[in-house]
Amino acid sequence: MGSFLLNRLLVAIPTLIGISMITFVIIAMAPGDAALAVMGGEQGSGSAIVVQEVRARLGLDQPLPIRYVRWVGQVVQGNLGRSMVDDQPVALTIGVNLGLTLQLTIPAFLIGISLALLFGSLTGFRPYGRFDAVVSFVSMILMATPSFVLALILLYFLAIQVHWFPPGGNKDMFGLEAPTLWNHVKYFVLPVGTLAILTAANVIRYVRDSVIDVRHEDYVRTARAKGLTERVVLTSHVLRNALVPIVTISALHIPALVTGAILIETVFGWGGIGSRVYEAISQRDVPVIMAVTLITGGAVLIANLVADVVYALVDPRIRLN
Amino acid sequence: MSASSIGRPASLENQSAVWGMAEAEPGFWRRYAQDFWGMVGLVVMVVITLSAIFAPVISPYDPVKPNFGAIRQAPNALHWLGTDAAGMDILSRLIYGGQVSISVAAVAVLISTTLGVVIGLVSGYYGGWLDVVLQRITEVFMSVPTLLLMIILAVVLGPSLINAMLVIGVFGWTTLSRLMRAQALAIKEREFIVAARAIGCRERWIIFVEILPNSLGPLIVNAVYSLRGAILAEASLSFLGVGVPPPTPSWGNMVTFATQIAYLESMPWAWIPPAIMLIVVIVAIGFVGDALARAFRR
Repeated sequence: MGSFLLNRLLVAIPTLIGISMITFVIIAMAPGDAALAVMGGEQGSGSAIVVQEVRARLGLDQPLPIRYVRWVGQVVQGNLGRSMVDDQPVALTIGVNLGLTLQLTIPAFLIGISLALLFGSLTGFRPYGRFDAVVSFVSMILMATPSFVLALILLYFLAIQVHWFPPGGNKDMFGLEAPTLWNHVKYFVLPVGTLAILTAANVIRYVRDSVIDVRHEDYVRTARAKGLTERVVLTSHVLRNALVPIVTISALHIPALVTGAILIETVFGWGGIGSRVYEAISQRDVPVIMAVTLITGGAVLIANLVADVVYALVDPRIRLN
Repeated sequence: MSASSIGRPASLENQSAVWGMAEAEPGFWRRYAQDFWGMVGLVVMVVITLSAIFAPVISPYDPVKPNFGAIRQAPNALHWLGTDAAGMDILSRLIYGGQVSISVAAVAVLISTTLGVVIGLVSGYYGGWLDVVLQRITEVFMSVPTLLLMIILAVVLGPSLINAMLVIGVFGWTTLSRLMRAQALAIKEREFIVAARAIGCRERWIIFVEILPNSLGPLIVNAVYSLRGAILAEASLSFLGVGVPPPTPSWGNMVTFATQIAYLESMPWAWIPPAIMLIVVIVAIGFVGDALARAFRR
């Protein structure tokens, strides 16, 4: 198991390096001078010497590979640079954004997968009935719905037409509300709900197919013949074996979670990494962009690693390979 | 092999092993037509595509011409879907938006299919270190949330119609390249390929004239599915403001409207129709893709 993990880790590192290189190169290709952008963006806003100084201070006068290597050196020491916009250390300020995004994506992922498991196995166990038809139809429509569309629709019907939920933000901005649990949680419901519903819709088809495949297997018939209750048959035999493709799909869905988070954060004004990186991109704030891409790429890799571990736990054959 | 097959690309006798050309499978279209939802999807796509092509003919107003005497009107007899904040007719913008969204998606898929096919086939056929390097690169691209990279590239290049096509195409090739590589690996040791090499055919010819036509099945299905992704990507990019820039209408940037709570509340006719169209098109393409996959399989 240990060597399996080590192996996966070793593969992950070049991938991370690749991601950071691609991002660095793309940003470096930007037309327009970052030094000028930092200084306010006007062509004649400073004498050439001052612009040169700013450029040198930001390290922009070095050739590309050197700038990349210097950046890597800094990152390894834990220094993600200072934002070009507000000159705050990125590592400090981004923690808040990251926390908010994690508070959005992790519950959404867990809830979504649980919903998918629940409805997927229910419909997989009794396929082609009316319940199955309804669930399949709804999930098909939801799978085709862009995340921001679903977010806007939920926002419109649940926060604007009826005021059950706040129309955005992640907390009470002005301190006007009583500090009850609901007043804290209500900001989370729509964003997390949107992401969870979308996750569920995408995964449920695979759960259903997997359960349909598995329930015809001989060991299921044996379990029933042994006299086990339907519930035990479902959980410890059918689901157990159906889990491998489900884990695969869940792991494959993780980058989509990040993507969905970016869009949903924009709709709800959530203040997480998605919103942050969007501002940074329009302001050409290179250190922030690099940091966010690195973190996102790293997060996806870690999530895949966790998925591999779960894989190995669920299917001993993989572990021993 | 009969005399009539000399000089044409060979196809395999055993068609259950590899999906063959549509023409090689008798009754392909008949099988497709048996799939009810596939036909529904096809009809929807044809209708939308026709309305996109004939947009100048069927749309009642100029979609980018503001008319400040008629702003923010709810749907009425003159403007069937109402007008937006600058007085532009929503219905016309919807029709032209379809033209924009679909053409961006189509070109992007063209780019990514070409990239995917070339990279996949070359990687699979030649093998060796080229394969290893290309596969590593593919893995990097696959493990990154593509929207993020697309956003970065789109901002760097500047939002425009052409850049949107480029950006989406450049990041969408990975699944297809995996597929084509698998196809190349599967086919390259078959007898007719070995025979072609033996009689001295050039490698490039072999790849593109022998292997490619025999992999058309998965290629077409994958291209249709990536059309979905491309439409979604264009909608997302335009929604964020880095795709097709207004005033050119695209279904994505028509929805951007709704991020301002005032419009979300008071002008649902401005953003709900494009949102619905997005869902409809994506569902329709999904139907077509599923039906194609089923028709190819037998």
